[in-house]
Parts: sequence; C-alpha cells; structure tokens
Amino acid sequence: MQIQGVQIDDTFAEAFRTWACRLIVTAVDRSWVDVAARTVTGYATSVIGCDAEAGLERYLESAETPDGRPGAALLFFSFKPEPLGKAVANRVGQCLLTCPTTAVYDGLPGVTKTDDSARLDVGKQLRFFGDGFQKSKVMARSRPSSPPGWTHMAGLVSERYWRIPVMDGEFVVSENCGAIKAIAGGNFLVCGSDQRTTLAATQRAVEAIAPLPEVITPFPGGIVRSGSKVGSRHKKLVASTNEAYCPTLRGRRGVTSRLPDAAGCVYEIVINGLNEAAIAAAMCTGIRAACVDGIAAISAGNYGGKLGKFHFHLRKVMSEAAT
Amino acid sequence: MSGYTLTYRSDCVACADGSHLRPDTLGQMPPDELRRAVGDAFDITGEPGDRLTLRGLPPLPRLGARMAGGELIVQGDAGDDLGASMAGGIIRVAGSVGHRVGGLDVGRDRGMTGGEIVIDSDAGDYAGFMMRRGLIAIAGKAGASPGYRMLAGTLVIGQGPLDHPGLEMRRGSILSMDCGGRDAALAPRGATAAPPQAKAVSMPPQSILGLHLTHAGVFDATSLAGVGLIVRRLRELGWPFFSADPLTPSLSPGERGSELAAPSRLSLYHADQFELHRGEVIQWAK
Repeated sequence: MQIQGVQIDDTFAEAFRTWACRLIVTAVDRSWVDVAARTVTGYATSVIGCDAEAGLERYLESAETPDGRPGAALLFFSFKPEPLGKAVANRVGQCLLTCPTTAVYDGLPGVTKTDDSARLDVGKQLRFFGDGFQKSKVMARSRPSSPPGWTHMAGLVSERYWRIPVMDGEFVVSENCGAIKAIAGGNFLVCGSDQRTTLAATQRAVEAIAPLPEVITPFPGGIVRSGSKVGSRHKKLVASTNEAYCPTLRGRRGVTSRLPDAAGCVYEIVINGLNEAAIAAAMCTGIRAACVDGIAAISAGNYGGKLGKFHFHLRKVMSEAAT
Repeated sequence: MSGYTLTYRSDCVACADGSHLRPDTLGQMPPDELRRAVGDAFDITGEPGDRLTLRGLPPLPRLGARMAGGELIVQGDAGDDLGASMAGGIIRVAGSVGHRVGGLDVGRDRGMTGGEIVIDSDAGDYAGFMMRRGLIAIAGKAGASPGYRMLAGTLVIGQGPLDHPGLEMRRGSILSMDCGGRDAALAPRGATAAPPQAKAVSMPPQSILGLHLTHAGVFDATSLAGVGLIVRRLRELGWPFFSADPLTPSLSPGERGSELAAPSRLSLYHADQFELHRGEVIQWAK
C-alpha cells in the first residue's frame, strides 16, 4: 500500500488501556491560558518516567468555557484512576493554583462513578489551601455549545466549585473531575531520507492532528525521537533505545535494522485518546499529512502484540478512512 | 421539552394556595388524572412532560413550594412564598412576585435547598429568606432585606438600590447588578417583559447597606472568577442581561472596532459581621 508514493508498512501500532480525565483551564487572556496549559502539562511525556501523560487537546473560545473567559482543554492519562487523581491534583496545585488568573473546571461533566469511570478529587483536596477562608458554590451549567467531537458531555449538570482566596483574587476549581477508560500509545513512525525533511513532514502531521477532538500528542512538540524497546542489557532499566530504528546503527553486528534502505532519520508520533475511533482518526490524518516527498515509509511501533490490548493496523486504518 | 399548559378560568372561585401546581407531581399525569387533580379551575392543554405552564392565574401564594424537579412557568405574577423550600427544578415568572421568594415553607426549617428561580420583574421583601442552596435571579428590584437570614446559595438582583441586603446571612452570595443606572453596560430589561402588576416595591433612593456589612474593596470582575460562573448560568437561563460580559473585556457599543473595554468593577462586602463574615454582597461598581 502506498500513499503519495510513500510505502505504508504492513504492521500495527500497539496501544494500551489507560484512564484519562479532561480539565478545562481558563485565564484572563489567551497568553495566560497558554502559560497555564504548558506548565501543567509539562514533564508529562511518558508514564515510564512521569506521573502522567498530558497535553493540550484544543484551545476554547470564551463562549465554550464555564466562566466565559478564554480557555484550553487538557487531557491527562495514567494507568489507574488513583495515580491519575494524585497526578492531576498535584499538577493543578503546583502549576495552576500558582498561575495568575487561572480557574480549573471538569471537562467530563457527564461522567459518574461506575466500573468504567470514576470521579477524581481536585478542588476537594486543594480547598484546604484556603485555610478556612475558601467558599463553595454549587452552580448548574448546561452546554449548548459543546465543541464538535466531544462525547461524555451532559446536557445540564450541577457542579460544586471551590473558590480559594489568593493574592490576585480567587482561584476557582471544580470539586472533582470525571475520569474514563481511555487508550495511550497509538503511534506511527515517519521514516525519511534525512533529518530536515523528516522533521518537517512529521511536524506537518502533528499540526494536522492538533485540531482533532479527544486526542493529544504528549511528547515534545508532539514528536518522539527516542523510540524505545522494552528492557535493556542493564537489569534496572525497563526501557532502552530501539536500535532497529536507529539509522546510525544500520549494519552493525548484532543489530537487525528494520529501516528501509532509503531512511536516514525516523520520528515517531505517539497519540493518546479517549477512544479507539479518535486515535484511528488522528493516525489517519497524521499519516496523510506526513506522506510527502523525501519520506520513504510509514511504519508503527509494537511489542509483538502481547503487551497492548489495542492494535491499530496501519493499512486497515488508512483503508477504512478512505471508505 | 413538552408539558401541560393550565389556563385559569376567571369564572371560577379563586383557590387560596398554589402549592399543588407542581410540574414534578402534575406534569407526568395522564390528562384525566390531571383533570381530577386540578378540578374545574383550569383549562388543560398540552401533553405530559417536565414543563408546567400556568396562565391567567391570580398571584397565588406558595406556587412551586417544595418542588423538586421540572420546570414551572408562571405567565403573570406570583404571590408570596414562591418556591418556598423548593429542592430542585426551575421556576420562571414572567411578572412580579410577593414576599419571601425561595424562602421557608410551613413546617420546614430552611428555605430553598436547590433549583433555580428566575423572575422577570420585581420581588417583595425578604427574597431568599433562609435559602440554603440554589439560585434566585430577580431581573427587577427587590424589597426590604433581600437575603435575610440566608444560609447559603446565590441571590441576584438586577435593578435598583438594595435595602439592607444580607441581614444575618450566614454564607452565600448576594449580587446587585445595578451600579446606579448610569453604566452603559447595564441595559434596561427587554421591551417584551410584562409591566410589573404586583404590589409596588417602595425603594430607598440609594442602597442602605447597614452596619452588618464590611467593605473589602473594589475589584476587577476578573479577580472574582466565581462571579463568572453565576453570570454564565444567568446567560444560559436567558435572564434579561446587560450587553457586556462582566468577566471578559468586550466591546461596548461606542467602542466597536476599537480597543477592548476594561472589565467591570465589583464592590465586595463581607456579611454579616455578626455571623463571622462568611457571606458576601457584591455590587457592580460604576
């Protein structure tokens, strides 16, 4: 299978079951929304070494946020609800409570506690920062203008907010936020002739994925350059470089390269999403955008299919999207 | 949302109490059962649903009392104790209401504990008397001591000076949207609103705030983000509103196309000082 002359490998991306929540962060203007979003989703690339994987889903217009200010929707992923709740509460406490003018709201307001979903305490813990001066406010909100593509949005919910007095006024934060089962680790590899061409093509793919709902690309600028394999020759290291995709190791003894001959550089885009359809759509959109001159092949990362529950076969993803 | 419409028949003896006209009890009844429940006093149209519309009604007391859900629409005025001790749902009144809206019902120890009351015109004395939770939005004026002995919740008053707001209030928020009628951001209510027909509310020439309030200062509306949640909800409820969004700098009519206007300013008072200052009265400043 080829798209724009680029080979689509007959392989699949292997992704994992995780839990996710969405926060809506608002601030006085777009520049402070940006600061807040970057800070709270910092150091959140991979659960191998971070407490969560996080990223910007999309910016929100004033009319789409609970308090009528500009905002952003952020997604956070972790393997279980408890560590996810802890990571989110810590991050909000250190990065958003401290950030000028911000407020934080639940982005999955229709989600209740069931076997497949949870409520994570956020404001319920952070309110203690108010030291008795905090106030709660229960207010209904309906959502006639949900951003397109968002599921899990209730028609009308009554939420408890905490208003914590701070030096620039008050920090408003939802008491808790919804969390649902989600998927992390959807991915594809862009194999190109040289670094500059491949990076440009991969950036095109990230930009194409950016506006899509219910997905994030958690790595720096959306791109990974250090694709990893499970384990290493050192006992304590659980992940190490994937030599099969390192172009400088091609031909070295003990290395079975999986790169096409023409490839001198490989970048990976990792996609986390709230459901399979959202990830498949993002992969398809991204791959299409990456298929340009100078790209030899599109591949995907997997672990033989034994570790992850979700397999996104590249050719299937691309052909289903075509029909 | 579908529902019944009950039109009052003027040839009938007035009933003395409106507390049985609730959408959560009458709304889902089949028509014949509804006919038995309300008697001959009403013409019934419509079908079962969450919404109950009342037309041509004299201003009965206790409309929506103890209501727990659904939407009650009063096309006209309502009497005293509207939504007394209500627990949920929405009440909309196209006209004025009497005393103690959202207050205490007979035999209860607290006022409304949830839900929303939206009034297009004026309210009498003691609006939000002992209310515990929920939202009361009065687009017109309020009588003496709005939020008297309020426990918590939100009381919004659209017009006029306030007469001793929040006396003995424990917690909760009282918002006065009127900054003296001179701010361009404050527009008069929509021309479609019915003229107030209920008792005239006698108002002092300017707000009488009382010694129980302590002034905290005047702030940009953006500093009090919690107010934004209330404003957003009022907007969703279709409350007759001023044009400018109090939280985001926006273009006022004279400045369209030029630079952004400054955000509104809010004057914040703590209340009641004899109840540990946990409540708040917020007045839109000029």
